[in-house]
Amino acid sequence: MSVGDVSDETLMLRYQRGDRSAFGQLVRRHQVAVYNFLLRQLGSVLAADELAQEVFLGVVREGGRFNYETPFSTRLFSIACRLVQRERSRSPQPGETAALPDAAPRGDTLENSIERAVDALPAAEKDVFLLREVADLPFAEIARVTQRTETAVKIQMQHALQRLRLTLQQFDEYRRALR
Amino acid sequence: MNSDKFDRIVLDLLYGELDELTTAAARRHMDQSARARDIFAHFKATRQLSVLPTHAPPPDFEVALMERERRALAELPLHLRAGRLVSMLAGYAMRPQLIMGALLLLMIGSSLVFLRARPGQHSAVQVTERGAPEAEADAVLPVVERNDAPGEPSSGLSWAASSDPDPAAATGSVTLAATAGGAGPGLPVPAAEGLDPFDQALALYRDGHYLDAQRGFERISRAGGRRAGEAALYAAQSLRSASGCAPAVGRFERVRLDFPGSSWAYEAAWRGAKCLQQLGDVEGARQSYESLLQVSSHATRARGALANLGTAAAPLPRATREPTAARK
Repeated sequence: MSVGDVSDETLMLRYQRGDRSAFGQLVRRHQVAVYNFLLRQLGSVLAADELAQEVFLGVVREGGRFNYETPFSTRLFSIACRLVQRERSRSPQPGETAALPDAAPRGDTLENSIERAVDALPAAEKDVFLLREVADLPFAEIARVTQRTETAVKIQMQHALQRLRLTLQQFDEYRRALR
Repeated sequence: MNSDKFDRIVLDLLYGELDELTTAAARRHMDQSARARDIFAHFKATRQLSVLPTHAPPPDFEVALMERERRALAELPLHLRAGRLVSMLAGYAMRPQLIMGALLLLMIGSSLVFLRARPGQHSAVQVTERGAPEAEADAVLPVVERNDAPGEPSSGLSWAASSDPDPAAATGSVTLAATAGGAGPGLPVPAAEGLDPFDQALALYRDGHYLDAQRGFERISRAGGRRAGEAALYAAQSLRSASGCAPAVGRFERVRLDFPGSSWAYEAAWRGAKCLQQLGDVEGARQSYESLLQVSSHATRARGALANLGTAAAPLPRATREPTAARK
């Protein structure tokens, strides 16, 4: 069995037994997703870097209480969401109430428009969208992370996609994708 | 599948979280419903184009994190560190190799503890126990000593008991030798050449060949002579050792009557009394002990025996007193 075949939970178990290299493996496996999730949530490279480290250190501190019935990634992004909530409470995000732009600025690229549209999503929809698209968590796990029902999570995801669609449908790429 | 159900599962279909049957049903529904097709197409196009660019963490992210992790571990509260230590130890304990090793050691240890020779693997050992049990046997030692000192009633042989309550009774010219049982029932020892018949019979007696010894002593006793009394007593003692008290009582009584006033007679009276006591004939034993109160060599022992008789429990049935002649 190669290192890549070892599950997150097995690596966490090894880490609890003193194998620090297992923790390094977990970091390498999840650092990009955690960092990008936080970067999209906070919009700051420095804050994302700092909080991503805090997320993994949270795993270290909670290591003895790690629940193996919960997937490691769920636990990881639960910590990340908690830290994001903390940051939001310190400085309310404009995306909380901001309406989606109903049109992309002229000359703007699709990529920039999508980033702005995601940034402008309401917090709850943004959480769900990023957990689904960046963290690649299934809806059931997103429900556990956000402590909502799975149905509520899907409704918020539908709303998020519909908002993004409003931005995307002004681009030719979208019309081509529909064909 | 209807439109409501399709609306509920469309995201699962989009992200591939449906099982095969539901996926097939949803696709069949889309084949029949333009609305469903349109909804799914828009979601699919939105998802395809909503891919956010991925940014790599800072290059020193992992190094810095591992350093902070090391510091965080050092700063963990004591109870968390204890929990971590327990987890580490439990991890070692759960390793299959350690479990197998522990089981192997347990098996080896238990094998050593319970390692015993099975009876079938060794040649049979035959054990024959003759005469009365040790506890019942009188430990009086018939010891021969060539001592013709004056004052002794006959050839200078005297009797003593190793269990004599009065050690003084066993002093004097008495020499202690191996007990009758002490020699034990060993292998037959051929009578030494050159010994006189009495010594030959005595050797057989000491080697535990009581029946042979008895026959030898009886021949000497019947032939008469200066050792006739001694031989008669030995013959009775041999019978007692071989077959127990029941047949020996009469023989002791015969010695007492045939050699009156001799040390053999007193000793025979003493031994006969002991046998009677063992057989439960307390009154007979008492009479015999009382007859020895006037004999200096046996008076002390007789008084002790009489005292014991007074405190002895009720006599047991005779059947339980019969010694087993031979046991394997």
